[in-house]
Amino acid sequence: MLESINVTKKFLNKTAVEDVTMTLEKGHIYAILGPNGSGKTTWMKMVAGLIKPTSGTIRLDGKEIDIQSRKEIAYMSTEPYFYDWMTIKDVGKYYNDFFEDFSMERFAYLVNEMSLEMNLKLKTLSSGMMAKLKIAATMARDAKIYMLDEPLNGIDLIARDEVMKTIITYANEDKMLIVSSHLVEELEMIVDTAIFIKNARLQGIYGLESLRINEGISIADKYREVYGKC
Amino acid sequence: MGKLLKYELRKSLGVKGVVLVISCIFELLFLIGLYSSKETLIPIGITLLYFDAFISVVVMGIASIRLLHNDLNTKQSYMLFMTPNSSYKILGAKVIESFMSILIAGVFFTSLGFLDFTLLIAQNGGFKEAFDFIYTAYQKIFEIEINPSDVISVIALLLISWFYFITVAYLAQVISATFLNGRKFNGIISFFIGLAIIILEEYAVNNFVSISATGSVINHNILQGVVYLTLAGITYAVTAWIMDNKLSV
Repeated sequence: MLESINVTKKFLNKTAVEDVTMTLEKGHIYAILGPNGSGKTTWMKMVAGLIKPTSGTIRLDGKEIDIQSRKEIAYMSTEPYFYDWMTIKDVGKYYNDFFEDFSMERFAYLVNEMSLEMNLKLKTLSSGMMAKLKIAATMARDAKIYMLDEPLNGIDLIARDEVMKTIITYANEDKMLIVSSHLVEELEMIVDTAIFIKNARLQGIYGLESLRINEGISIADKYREVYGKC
Repeated sequence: MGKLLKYELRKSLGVKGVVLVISCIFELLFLIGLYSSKETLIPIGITLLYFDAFISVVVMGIASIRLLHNDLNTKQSYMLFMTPNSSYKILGAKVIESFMSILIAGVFFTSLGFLDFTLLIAQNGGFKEAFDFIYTAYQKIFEIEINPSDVISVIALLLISWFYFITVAYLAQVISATFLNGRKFNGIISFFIGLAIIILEEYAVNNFVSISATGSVINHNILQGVVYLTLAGITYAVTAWIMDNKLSV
């Protein structure tokens, strides 16, 4: 269980996240939605233990997030972040060196599934190939929580399908997936709950089924309703 | 820590490769001069190697600071900070790598100098005479008695001073990436902050050592070394604390 309790993050004069309180459960795939600058990435980074909240607490299974939490949380940034001197195999070795839950076999399998090759140098990869590599490296971990920040950014339809397939493959009742994306309609195919962040504050959490049954609308419709007048 | 160190060494391999290639070119010039009729190449090779040794140490220091800058300010920062390692370990690996690099460079250039000197004497004969001549000349010029333990203490002090300067440079980089992040001229401001810290601490160290240390050169160097090590330790701890608590990657 992931608890975000009154979490606020301020940078100089800007409040990136303000008083966000929510509880997320394992066995779900969450979409975290909101326009650019709404605070999605900052909140995810705080959960990943990359930055500390200005105030408030984040707990994973009752324990406050710290450096050791990084062993249980797999975070994937939206931008490419690997060292440019690496090959795809080096990326696997790097993860294998630092994460006990990383499986080199699963990584090799995913790399192959995504039509990549282990000896390819990262300098030669297209943005689509890099996006697939990030997913392969992140999902080759056996983490409690996977957080994928804009995994579908800048990639073509075929690559998107491969990324989505991988996300679905490794989602199960023991895992929690949190995915941010602007491609709301595409996320709708894989997520079961949507978290809306607006102007640094939590606007609401909606179950897909609940939206369909009670309000007769999709996530995309709700998105338009929430952000349409922004 | 070992794994972090492995990747720190790998990241700095490019600069070390360039230093090695340039040194090999200068050494080749010296050797061609020594074993051919082109004797003018001997002083050219020696002079270039001499400057190469000093410049290489400075370049490796700058490269080490540049690496930290990239690890704090570019997207590559995730590679370090997503791992379950504290800032103390991450920074520690960087400091050790920088120190090891300088140590290895020192051993490399000293060995190369000794080898070239031996080859030069072997080619022209009279190793002991030449060594005695240089030793006596040195004593006459500087009017000092060369004591091997003093020489070792000076070298050790130089290494410790390097260790201290690197930790201050890292502190300046971290201040730039945290408290001054997003502000105009943060790089220049942090450079002057680092410079100010070094000047102030250097002034305090010199006064403290000149008052406290009495007697031989070695006593003076040991005390100064201990003070530098203490300051380096404090600077390292402060830097890692800032990284842990104030850094946004």
